[in-house]
Amino acid sequence: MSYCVNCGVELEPSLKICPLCQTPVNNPKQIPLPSDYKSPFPSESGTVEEVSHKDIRILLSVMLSTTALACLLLNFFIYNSLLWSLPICGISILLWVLLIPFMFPGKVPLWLQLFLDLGGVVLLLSSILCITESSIWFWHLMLPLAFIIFLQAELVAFGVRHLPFSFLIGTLYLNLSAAVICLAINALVSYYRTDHVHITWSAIVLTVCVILSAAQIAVLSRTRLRNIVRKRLHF
Amino acid sequence: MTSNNSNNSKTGMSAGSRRTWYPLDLSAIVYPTLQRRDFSSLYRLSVLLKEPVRPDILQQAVDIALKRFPTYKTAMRRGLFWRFLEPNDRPGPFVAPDISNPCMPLNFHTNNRYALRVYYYDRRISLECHHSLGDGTGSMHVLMTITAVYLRLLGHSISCGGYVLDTNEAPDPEELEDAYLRYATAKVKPPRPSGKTYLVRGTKEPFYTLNVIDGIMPVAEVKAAAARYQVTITEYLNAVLLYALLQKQLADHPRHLKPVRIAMPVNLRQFFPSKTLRNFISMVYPGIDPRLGDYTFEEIVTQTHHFMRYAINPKFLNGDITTNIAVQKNTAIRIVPLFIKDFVVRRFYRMVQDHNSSAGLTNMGIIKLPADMTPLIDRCEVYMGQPFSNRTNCAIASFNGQLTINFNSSIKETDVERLFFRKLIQDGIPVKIESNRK
Repeated sequence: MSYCVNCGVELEPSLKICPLCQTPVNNPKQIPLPSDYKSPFPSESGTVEEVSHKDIRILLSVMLSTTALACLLLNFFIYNSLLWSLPICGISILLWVLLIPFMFPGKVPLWLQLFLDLGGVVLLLSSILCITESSIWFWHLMLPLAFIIFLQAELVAFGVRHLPFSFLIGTLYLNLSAAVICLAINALVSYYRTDHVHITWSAIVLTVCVILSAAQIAVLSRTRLRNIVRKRLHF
Repeated sequence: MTSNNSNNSKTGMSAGSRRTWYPLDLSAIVYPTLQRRDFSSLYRLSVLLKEPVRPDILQQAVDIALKRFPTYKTAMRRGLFWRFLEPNDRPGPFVAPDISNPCMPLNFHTNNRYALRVYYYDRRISLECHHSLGDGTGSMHVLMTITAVYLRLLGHSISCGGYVLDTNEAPDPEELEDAYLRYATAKVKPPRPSGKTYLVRGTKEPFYTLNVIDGIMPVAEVKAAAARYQVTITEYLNAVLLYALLQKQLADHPRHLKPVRIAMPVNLRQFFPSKTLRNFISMVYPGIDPRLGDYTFEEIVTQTHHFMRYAINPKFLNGDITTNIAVQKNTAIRIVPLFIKDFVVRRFYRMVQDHNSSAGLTNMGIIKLPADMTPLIDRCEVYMGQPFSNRTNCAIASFNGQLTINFNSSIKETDVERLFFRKLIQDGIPVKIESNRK
């Protein structure tokens, strides 16, 4: 039997180092372990069994594809005055894309999921474009708005995943995102209506968000303030 | 579910011979809400036999014995307001070869929806059980009954008694009750202990890793060491852990010292008679505050001794469970949907409850078995499982003159364990160490 020279504990014969202090076992008189000796712990490690989402994948895919296909057939053979089935197909595809995290949990990275969501939205907007006379709303309003929201979501996702995160930082991201999106909506709607960018109501939202964000940044940068806020608002 | 008398409805019991569902008890409500991808409230109980385990016979024993424990042969289900346990007639649970990372997370949708696992390795049978099914005492009955049935199938004559229950008997309704509901009778609700404590810092191990360090020592030597300080074994080992945590905090050179406190579950069955195999525990928090001055080990022992004598009595424990059950009984809370409850409880646990103690320590005491089973068993072990945060959990059990102290942690550093065992060595206790650390 071997003892740790630092800790004074007896070590189980298969241990090569003391698990308490990492001192190597160096016992020249140690009797070699018999060939059938088994260490007290197995060497194989286990892995957590994955939950099967196959059933939910099949159910959702069948439901959405059947809806799209049935509407397409109805549109082509019975109610064929307008291509109304295209937006329904677009909605089905968008819903399927939005449900990817539930059908394939942990498989698609967040940045890619957001990109796929953008693709789904653009596809839906394009399908609506096919049945409308004007395309200005698409190019001047909805497409830029979709891209701005996508970029904003990607930035927030990057911040949440790769930068230090807390409840306060989360609310700061939310605040800044709300300000940017309101500003974009206001600017794009005014441009769509009048061909000029007029910032009106979003200036008030922006002012409120800037004040709140400045306060949040001040709280975040001062440990004492941060602790007071945490203490007062803990739940 | 229908019930015929008021007592049955109060304790969640039904008059029918077969229950269709079981509401979760007071403790069990919390554990599923803490479930994360990398964390489950799982603990492990092991029994080391004298002969290598035969998996085919063990599987038969599990199949026979588990029918005796209807609250363990269940699946966790979600309701709109609370979770509940539903009898599970799927095949299993199946015995499996043991793994080097015990208590790995358990998803309620896997393992044929069983919230327990049975492993075998060489001479050892291990039962891993989710805390929502029951506490250590309840699960020890399950493990020892499985072991007794296994030994009987091998031809040994094993009688019932202690932790071994008769598999031919129908379960006593009291074994299935939520005993908290029966005994929470205090007229006042004392406040919960609160306040931030020292938290052990360390380097997180990769996903699924649970480091185990077992210390095996003679009970007589520990008893003699405790007697020198005129305290019980539990008080002495609590004091040693507090001492180790205090030394660790001092070695960290923190800007501000924080109190050191241990979360210790108390088995309520010794104060409130109940045969329940579900959770029936309450927490006490022995601790010291180094901000008040330097503590010698003797002072820590004295402090722990007096605290335990003061806090562990039926009146105070009744107050504790009444406080906790008041939350569960509150109508305003009951009508809140489960997902909101989950969110709030998880946040409360992470921000308040988890900071309440520096480490966990549980003492299962002497594992009592029938006299004809004792010679066939070498040792009994208890693992508290993966800690919720960077801390160390310590579980103690004694059997046949041997005391095992098992440390579990998910951090690389072993400072607390080293300081703990070195203190035992200094007090003249011979310790043998086993570990899964590489």
